[in-house]
Amino acid sequence: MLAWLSETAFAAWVRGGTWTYPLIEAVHIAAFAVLVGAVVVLDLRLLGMARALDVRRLARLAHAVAMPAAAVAAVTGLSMFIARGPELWPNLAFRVKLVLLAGLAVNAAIFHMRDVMLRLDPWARLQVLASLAGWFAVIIAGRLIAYV
Amino acid sequence: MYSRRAVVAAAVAAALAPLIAQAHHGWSSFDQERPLYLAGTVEAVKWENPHVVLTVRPADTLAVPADLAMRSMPAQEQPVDAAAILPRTTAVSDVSGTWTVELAPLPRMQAWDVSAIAPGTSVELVGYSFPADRAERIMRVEFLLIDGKAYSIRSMPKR
Repeated sequence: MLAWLSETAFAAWVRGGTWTYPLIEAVHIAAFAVLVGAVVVLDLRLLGMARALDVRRLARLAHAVAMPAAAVAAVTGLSMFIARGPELWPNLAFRVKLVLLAGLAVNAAIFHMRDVMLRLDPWARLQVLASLAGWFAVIIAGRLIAYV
Repeated sequence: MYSRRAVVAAAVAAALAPLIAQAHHGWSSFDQERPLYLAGTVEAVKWENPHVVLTVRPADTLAVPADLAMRSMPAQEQPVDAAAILPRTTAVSDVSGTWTVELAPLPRMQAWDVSAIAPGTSVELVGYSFPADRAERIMRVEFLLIDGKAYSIRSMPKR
């Protein structure tokens, strides 16, 4: 399946264009910067920084910024995965990154379902800290893909 | 409040430190104290990013040409001392099969005016492999020679 994907015309185009792959990488990183920046700002507010800011409004803004960025990061990430799946799939850092992303998605979903944004209980506070640590770990794991 | 944040930041940093400390597997995973010479025929070409990869069948009789040590390599952006590397270069010892040869990313190959290498082309390569105890036929190329023309592909050509 991964080998088949990596032999498609799309995969060949991603790998074979002089600037295609580096540009996709750059867009992926830019999207990630926007996404993680939005998450960090909201998480810090949730932890008590800048209490003057209305949490719900800030959350709406962060959501509006983070979601399109996440979509761009996913599309560019998937493009690179299609082009280099057989190399990436066995890569430990890549796998750690995928597991972290899945964990962060579950973490965010639980946080929203519990509806504790306006008054964090200790569990919710732990979730926010996990979000901060998790997103930084995703960046580190992503960068390490090229080195392990 | 600030001290608690500092504690959290320190804890996060401590948790991530082992990840950051992981080994770098770029140039540094190759044994650059042991420059190797390989000549042969290109059997397969991946003219792709993140770097061009050739499959090279070593020539039957493989020896470092007598004039290699004296050859001058074209100037490049990174200071690579060809005059020190070439006299120390020895022929690869393992010619039992094809070598996987890593060249530069496409934009750099283009900057050196190397057009896509076709299978069947004869190439000469000076580069590095893993430390001797890790016997794999993989080479990271320092100097590429085709048709008598040399390319210092570790970095961009010096204009």
